[in-house]
Amino acid sequence: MKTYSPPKIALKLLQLYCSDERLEELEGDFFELYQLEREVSSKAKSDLIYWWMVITGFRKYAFKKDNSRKISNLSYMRSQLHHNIKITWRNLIKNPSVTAINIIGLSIGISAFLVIFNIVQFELSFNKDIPESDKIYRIHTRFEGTYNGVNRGINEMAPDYIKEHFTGLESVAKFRTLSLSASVESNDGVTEKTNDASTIFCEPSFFDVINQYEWLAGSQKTALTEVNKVVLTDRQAAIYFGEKEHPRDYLGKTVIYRDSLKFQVTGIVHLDAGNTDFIMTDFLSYDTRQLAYYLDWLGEPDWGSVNSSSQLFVKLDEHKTIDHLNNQLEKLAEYTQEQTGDKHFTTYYKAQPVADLHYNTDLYIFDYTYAAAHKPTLLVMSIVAFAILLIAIFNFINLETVQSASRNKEVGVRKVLGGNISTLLGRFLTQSIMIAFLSSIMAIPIVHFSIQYFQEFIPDGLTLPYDQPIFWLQILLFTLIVGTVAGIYPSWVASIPSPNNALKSGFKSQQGHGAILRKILISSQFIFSQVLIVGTFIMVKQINFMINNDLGFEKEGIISIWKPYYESDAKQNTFIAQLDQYPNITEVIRGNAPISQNFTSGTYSYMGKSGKISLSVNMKDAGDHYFDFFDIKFLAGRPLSNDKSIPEVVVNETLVREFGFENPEDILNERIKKNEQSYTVVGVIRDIYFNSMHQSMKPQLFEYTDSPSEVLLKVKVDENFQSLVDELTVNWRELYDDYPLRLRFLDETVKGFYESELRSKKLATTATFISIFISCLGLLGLISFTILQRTKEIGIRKILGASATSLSAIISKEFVYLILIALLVSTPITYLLTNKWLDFFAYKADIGWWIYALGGLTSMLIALLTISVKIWKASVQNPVDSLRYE
Amino acid sequence: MKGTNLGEFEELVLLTVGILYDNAYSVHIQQELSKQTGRKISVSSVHAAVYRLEEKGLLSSRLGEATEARGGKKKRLFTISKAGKVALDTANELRNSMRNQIPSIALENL
Repeated sequence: MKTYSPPKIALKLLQLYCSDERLEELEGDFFELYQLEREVSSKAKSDLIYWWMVITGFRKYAFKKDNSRKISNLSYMRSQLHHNIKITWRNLIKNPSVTAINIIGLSIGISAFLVIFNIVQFELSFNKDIPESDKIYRIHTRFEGTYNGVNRGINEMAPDYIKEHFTGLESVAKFRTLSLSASVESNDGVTEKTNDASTIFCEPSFFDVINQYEWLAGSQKTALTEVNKVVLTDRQAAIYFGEKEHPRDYLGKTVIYRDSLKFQVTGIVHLDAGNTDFIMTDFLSYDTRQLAYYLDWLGEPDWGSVNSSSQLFVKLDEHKTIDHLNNQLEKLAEYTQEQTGDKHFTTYYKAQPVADLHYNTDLYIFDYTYAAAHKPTLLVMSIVAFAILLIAIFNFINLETVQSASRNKEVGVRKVLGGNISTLLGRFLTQSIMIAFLSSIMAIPIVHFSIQYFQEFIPDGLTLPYDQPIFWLQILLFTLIVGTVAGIYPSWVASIPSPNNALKSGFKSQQGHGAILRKILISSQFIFSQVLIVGTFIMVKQINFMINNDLGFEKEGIISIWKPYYESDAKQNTFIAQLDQYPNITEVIRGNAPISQNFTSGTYSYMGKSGKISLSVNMKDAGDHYFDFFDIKFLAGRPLSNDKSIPEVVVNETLVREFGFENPEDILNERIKKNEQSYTVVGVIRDIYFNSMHQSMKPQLFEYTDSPSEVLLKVKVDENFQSLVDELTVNWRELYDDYPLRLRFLDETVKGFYESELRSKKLATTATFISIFISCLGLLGLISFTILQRTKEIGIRKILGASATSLSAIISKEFVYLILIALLVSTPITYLLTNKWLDFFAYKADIGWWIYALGGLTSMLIALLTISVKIWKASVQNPVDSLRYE
Repeated sequence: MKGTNLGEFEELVLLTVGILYDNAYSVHIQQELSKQTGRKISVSSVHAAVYRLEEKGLLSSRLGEATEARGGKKKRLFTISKAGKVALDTANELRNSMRNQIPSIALENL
């Protein structure tokens, strides 16, 4: 009889969902019906009908198991699990060293992952609660020309222009952030200071744009329409006035800012958001800023001045695209240029999506905090986290697979007694999940303490949510995943041998195939460690180069002190005069430190033969003896004199070159101009590094002044130094009672440029140690196994006269090869990665091939040291012990 | 008890199993049922019914022989159990007794 075969995929589907007991009869029924159908109709129609049967057959009866069987199954599984846990526990106790290596390795991997995962998750969770955030933009300013840079603020004229002329905007909100001291009048008329408040002058529309506040009292429409009104967050109101029964009870009360500015409370808002950068607590009506007092204090708005606190949010109309806004911003830039008439630089306006607020390290967030997150750093951290977890898992896989041989007896007996693959897999997976579980438990205290150690990486406000069940659920889930991923391969390897083979003495399970995998895994661990070792070496070299390199001037033991900018020179002279009496101070001069975080530039021009050349030049003030003080070398000419009749300048080599002179001597006595003022060049110095080494060298010049706002001291830092600081502080207080004395060490300033690099170094160093540690644990486990397997071989070799040294060489050879391979593979990876990193710097340390060799040697040494003890023990063992059969 | 109540379709399936006596398996039941009622009946609904009836204890089953027509798969053959017979009889009696209680006048002028 001829039969037709039904559509395969449908059959597969049926087999997939149908329980074993039902499959036979259902498949038969469907088959029979298919045959009947095919007799009378086409294949296509029959197929369709078959499909329909399979799909409609997806019902309870098809997968429900027979009830009586189900109950016994459940209790069977329970007892199986119980049994597995018990056996696992005995196994773990039996091999304490292997268990310890496994758990320590895995727990370190898990901790590293959890720490970084929590940081990244925290940083990515910011400002997620702002409604319609995809339509909200902050307009900021970019300058090009003499001064290149960005400012998160906008000049205070532009917002009104935007309101009047721009189309396609739903709302526009200008605001100005500032920190003010706040106080409230208590019942008995005494004013009490509270802490500084994060205040903001804002228009009522602020609450339209950032529509995440809930109004508990007062109304959004009217609260901020008049001058001297303030809206508080409910929490801030409670701080000022104590807890009140109803939010409306706060209305009408008065908050006093800056000791005298009285504001009436007209609204209470509540912000119920997750992590947010909107930490402002006091919302002052923007119109207040137009009062005479504030114009005097904060400056009159004009087109030319841009303050980073004056910012602007806009919200796009529905259906309007960002292009529409950008086009209008271009026109606004042209208009601004007309208004300012500034030729030295051009102003542009840019729109920054509010979602970007937390992640822009050029603009930063608001003025209150600088805790913007750097997304590339987050990415690198995530990669490192995954890699560390991965090598910990590799480690686990290695150690477990080598152990599978020692489980052969167990597997054999289990199989003979009727254990099938799935129960064996269950048995071994239970073991790996249990190890993962123990590791996670160990990881939690490690995570807790490393979060303290990595303080500078931990964003403010990040704590581990121990009290939230979701946190523990996450960890549990994570543990299950890690346990399964790490355990699936070793369990498989352990479960497949046939009982006949498994029980045969001397059978090595899956020898060839498993061994290659082990080698690949251990090599990749070493490749990763190798990349980190050499990467860290190069990083350290570059950082040391930048910090310790000869900057072209003396920087040790030099302190700079700035006077408050609003104070007179006379007071500063009094302060300087007092400095002579301290023996710890060896020299005092006036002038700007050659290197500083903030610097002034100006546009200077020179009329050369080929026309006028204009340059943006870094300017420093220099007093008497300035160049001697810093030991700055002259290439031509002389230092500045105090002759004030003709202004003199000393310039650097780069300036000479960029003005088109070949030799430093050529520029001497030439005149360069800034605006209408002309200066005579009297000296040329060798280039000094006056900026971070991220930047390439720029033109620089020094002007003479005897009253700069900065004083520089050369000090001896010894045991008397602290008392010097104390006495200076007392002197300073007498002169400037409202301004703290700040001593800035020049070498600290230099280090300050490389803060993010120093932090990366810490991360890289830690990651290196962790990965080397884990890899060595793996190596240790592997070598123990190898030695165990080769016990007989070692014994025979010894009897035949091999020395302990030659035996050690034979055993370690295999590992040396692995490390050499790792070295070969890792070198190009390291080279590419570090070159990318070095591209951030205009000045690079000299990275020779020997750094790679040194890195290779280091990891080789560490690896050999790790295995040497074990190998030596095996080599000196008495062959009688190793060859004895019983 | 819920288990002993018979739905209309269930009753029909039970009857069909009885009619087919020693040869009642899903495909046959479906064909016979379609023939008897003139309705189009899918094999899945027959499956659902027979397994439910077996669960209720009204049908008992055994595996039959495998034939080539079934692609070498065994069929499940159903027979009415004692409880099944009782359920059928009860349903039948109930129906008859209720039918007889209708006064003839109620049906006269239809």
